[in-house]
Amino acid sequence: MRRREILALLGAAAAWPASSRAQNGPARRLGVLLVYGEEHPDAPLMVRTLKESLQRLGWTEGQNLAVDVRYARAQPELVRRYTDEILAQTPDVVFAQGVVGAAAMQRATSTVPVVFVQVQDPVGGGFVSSLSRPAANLTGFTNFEYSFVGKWLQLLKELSPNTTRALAIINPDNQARFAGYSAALEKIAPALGIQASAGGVHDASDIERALASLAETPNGGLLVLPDATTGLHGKLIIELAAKLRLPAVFAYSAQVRTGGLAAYTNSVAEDAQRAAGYIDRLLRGAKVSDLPVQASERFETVININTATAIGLTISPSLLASADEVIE
Amino acid sequence: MTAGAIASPVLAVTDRNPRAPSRARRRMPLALKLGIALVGLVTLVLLVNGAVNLWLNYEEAKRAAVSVQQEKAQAAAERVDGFLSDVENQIGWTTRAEWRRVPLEQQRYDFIRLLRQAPAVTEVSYIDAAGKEQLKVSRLEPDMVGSGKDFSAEPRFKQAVAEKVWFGPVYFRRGSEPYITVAVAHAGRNPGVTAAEVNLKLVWDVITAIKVGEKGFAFVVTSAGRLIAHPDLSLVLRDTDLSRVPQVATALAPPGGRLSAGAAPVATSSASEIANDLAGNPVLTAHAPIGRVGWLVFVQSPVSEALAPVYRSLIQTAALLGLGLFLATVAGTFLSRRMVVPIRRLQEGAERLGSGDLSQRIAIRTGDEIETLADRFNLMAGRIQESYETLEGKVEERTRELSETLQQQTATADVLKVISRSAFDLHTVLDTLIESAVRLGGANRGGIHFVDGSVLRLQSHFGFSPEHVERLREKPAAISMDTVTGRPALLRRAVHVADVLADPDFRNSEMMKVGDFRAFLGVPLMREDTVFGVLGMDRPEPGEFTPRQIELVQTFADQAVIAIENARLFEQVQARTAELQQSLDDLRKAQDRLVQSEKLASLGQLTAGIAHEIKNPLNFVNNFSSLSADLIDELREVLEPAGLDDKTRDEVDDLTGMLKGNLEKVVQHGKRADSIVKNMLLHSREGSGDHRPVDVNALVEESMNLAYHGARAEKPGFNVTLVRELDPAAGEVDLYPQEITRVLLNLFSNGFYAATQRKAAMDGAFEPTMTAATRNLGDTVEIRIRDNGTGIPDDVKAKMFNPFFTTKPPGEGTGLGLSLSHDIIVKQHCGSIEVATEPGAFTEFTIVLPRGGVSQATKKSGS
Repeated sequence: MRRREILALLGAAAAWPASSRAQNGPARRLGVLLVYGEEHPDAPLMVRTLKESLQRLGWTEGQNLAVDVRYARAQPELVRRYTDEILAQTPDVVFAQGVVGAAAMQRATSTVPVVFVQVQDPVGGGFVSSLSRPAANLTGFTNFEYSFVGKWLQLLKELSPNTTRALAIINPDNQARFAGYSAALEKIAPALGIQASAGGVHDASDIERALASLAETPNGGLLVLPDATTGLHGKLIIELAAKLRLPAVFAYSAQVRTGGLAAYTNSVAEDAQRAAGYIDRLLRGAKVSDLPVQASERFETVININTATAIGLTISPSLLASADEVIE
Repeated sequence: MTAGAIASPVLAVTDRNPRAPSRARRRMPLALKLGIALVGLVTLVLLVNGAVNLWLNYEEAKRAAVSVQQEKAQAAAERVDGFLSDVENQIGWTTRAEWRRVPLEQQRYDFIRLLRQAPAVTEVSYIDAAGKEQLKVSRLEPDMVGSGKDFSAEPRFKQAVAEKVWFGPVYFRRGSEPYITVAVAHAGRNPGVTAAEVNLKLVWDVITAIKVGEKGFAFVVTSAGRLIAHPDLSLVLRDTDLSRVPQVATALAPPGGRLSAGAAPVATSSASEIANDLAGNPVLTAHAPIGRVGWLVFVQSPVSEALAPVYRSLIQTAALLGLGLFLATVAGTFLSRRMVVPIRRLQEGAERLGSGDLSQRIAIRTGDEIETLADRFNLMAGRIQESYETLEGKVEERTRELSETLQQQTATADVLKVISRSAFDLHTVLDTLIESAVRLGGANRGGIHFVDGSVLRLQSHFGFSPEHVERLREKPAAISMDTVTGRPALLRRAVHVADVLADPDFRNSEMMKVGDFRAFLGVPLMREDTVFGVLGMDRPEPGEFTPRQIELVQTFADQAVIAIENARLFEQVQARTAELQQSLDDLRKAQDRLVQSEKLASLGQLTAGIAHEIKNPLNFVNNFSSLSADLIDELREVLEPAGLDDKTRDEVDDLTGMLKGNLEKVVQHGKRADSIVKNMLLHSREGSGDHRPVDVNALVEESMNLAYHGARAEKPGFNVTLVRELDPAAGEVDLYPQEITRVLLNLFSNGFYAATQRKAAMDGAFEPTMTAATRNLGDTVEIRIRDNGTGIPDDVKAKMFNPFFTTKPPGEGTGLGLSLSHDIIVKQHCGSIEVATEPGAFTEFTIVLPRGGVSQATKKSGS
């Protein structure tokens, strides 16, 4: 071999590390918009799971990934501001929680890929054109369908067989969702022997009023639909339900763990984990349209015996046996 | 191995110039050839061996890899089948014969347990023996008890009852998630059916658990090619149709024909191939069917990974090949070096021989063909040495001849140069010629002789002693056989005498004493068959001149002829040029004269007219004034008798005297004017009187005397010395005597005037002299009139022949004298008049008259 060829090889070898370094390049940026406040038990769980999962996939925060987390506390103005703040950092991918988070992101950007979780009916909500092939810049994970009110009402009925009325509270601002739930309630509830309706709540006072009015007549039951507002005010709802001795079924298990009666839900951690998978693929260059919206397929029933006892409910053994998790 | 160092020894000897071809075409050294042959052979064997090995290995390894892949596919199919079996088993728990008698609440609880234990099952329902749904438990919807929905006509009921277990077609919930319905008939008579909706997303768990090497994976497609399980779940959810992917298409369309859904597919389990995956990368793929649902489980792994053992074996073979090559190269190099050393010594010997060392001998004792070759080589070197020596002698001789020729050529060239450079200096040319001829002709000395009557006179020589030259001058060689120098002129050819003493004709012993020569060579110098000289040379030793020398001397003789001829021609040209120059000068003069004549002619015509007109009134003036003078006399005679008192008479006399005086002045000046007019008419008139042959000397003499006496008559104190230099041969010239006399008188009177002027200016210490000379010039006669007067300044000289130009004070000259003279000489006599002068010294007019000038002029004017 000639000398200059060797030199050329040496040069190439010298150039290699430089180029491979360049490949890692500057850190990539992930924006995280949570609609909960930091104090919500699911918020740290979600953030932690997300970060851990990303690290397993090769994205370490502070090294090759910068993560901006914002907690919007279910306040529309905060949602807007944080959306703008996150996008101002020109993130490579955004993680958005819930219908509120996904809607805010959808309004603010049409280019930055957004991975949402805890969204119901993403097609009906206009986030994606179809589950299998999202056309725009949003994709993610849907947990419940509107028809899940059936499962929740059935759980309520099983917990408290006397229930003949049920109120499902949710922030009515997202009209499509409110209408969807209302329609599902109307369709399913009669078969279960329950007169159910959806009640819109915006804040604590709305909740207080709604629950107080529900408790005025007996045999009432409460459905706490999955929503930023109900999530933020979970503690108040639990307290009020306990005070008013209202059997309440929640959409998320965190509320049951903090004193709610029962929930039929999916795993928040699993949502975050799967979202991390999508974020990884997007950071590595995948297109949003290649990532179909996935639906949860595993659900569990969580029952808090203490709360049941506190409001004077006796849980049937069969229900207990069928529950996936019983909190005592 | 140094390439190119060994040149072929054979070529080194046979080729006169071995370097040029070896550079032009690079030769391959023997060592390299040997090495290449050896290495090539070994390489060939190794390559063939390696290739065969490789091919066998490759096939073997590929077969192994394929069969491994096949096994993996089989295993994967079993695992996926196991998933279905699991679901079936779970459902089977609710299909006991007595289960239908279990209380509803218990049934529901069983179903809930079923859902918990079988996460893939999303919904489970119990259909009774009549085909009515009695219970449905779902993860997504509220549980349904006794809905009574009729499934009796549905396959899930009919098929399950008929076949015990029924797997429905794959369907997709919300267009995304793959589901299958599994229905299991209960045991016992009139069985009911438990139907479960199974979410096939959960197959993902099974699929991802199947490890196919490092990067390989398994996936499941339906009998229609629809992907239902893949490690990348998103592909499944995106409703991916793989039926067009070649390997899937091949697997789906076995030779037996297309599969129909639900029918047990024909197991084409052995199919395994290398194909491209969805991203286009080559993969080794194999598949196995799951009989009861008609699915195909594919396993595929990157070719590079699947065939890694093949590549390992390739590398091993290549390494072995490389090692073999290396060893072969080493061995080849060593052996070829061993063989090449004596060859190289042979080559070095050849090189030395080639570079001129002919004494070179090579000592090789290898006892083989090379030694023989070396011996032959030595023999050849000896032969070459011998022939080379002979050749050297020949070359020397040849070189000598060549240098001699060159010397002669150079000398010839030198001579030619000298001749061309000094073409008209004949002496130098001849000297150079004889010197070169002597030097190159092998003689000591020599000379060029020109024929002069019957003898040869020495013209130029080289190496002759002064006595010899003196001797030759006194007694030139005669053109006879007696003298060697004379012989070439006599015989008109080159004469060559090797030894004069041996020559019977040679008798000039006296010459021998002075000349001291023995051998002689002489060449005649000839122009148009006329011998005009001899080039001879000799030397004191006897001996032949070589033909080359003779030839050379002949050449020099020819050169000498050319040079002499050139010189002669040159002289002729020069003489001719001089003549031409003379003619040109004459022509110029004639031209000048013509210009002057023309001027005068025109003026003459003018004045003739004017003069004629003036002459008439002037005649009146003259006639009447002289008549008036006579009338005054008559008046006086008339008054004589009149009785006038004295006073009155005196006054009359006084007045008549004054009148007469005035009239005389009128007559005098009238005569003068008349004379001017006459002169003018003369000037303009062509000739006057007759022309006849006149003795020039007499004419000049006469004119001179006339002028002198005229001058003396005019001025009594006038004196001048008259000198006559008349050529007695002047003879007669045909001319107009009175005209020429006029000219001469004019010139003499001018001369007298100038001399007088000068005498007056010099206050007596000057003797004015007037010279008249004639000279016979053959066809012409020259007349010179010279005075030693004031001379003529240049500005005057230019204009002095112009009419009316005069330097005399007004009243003393008409200004027509010289003009008329010029006219007469030039126009009338076809002669010339010129003036030579030096202010304050002399003036000399020269008149040249052709003897027949008048007739010429008449002819000219007449034509």
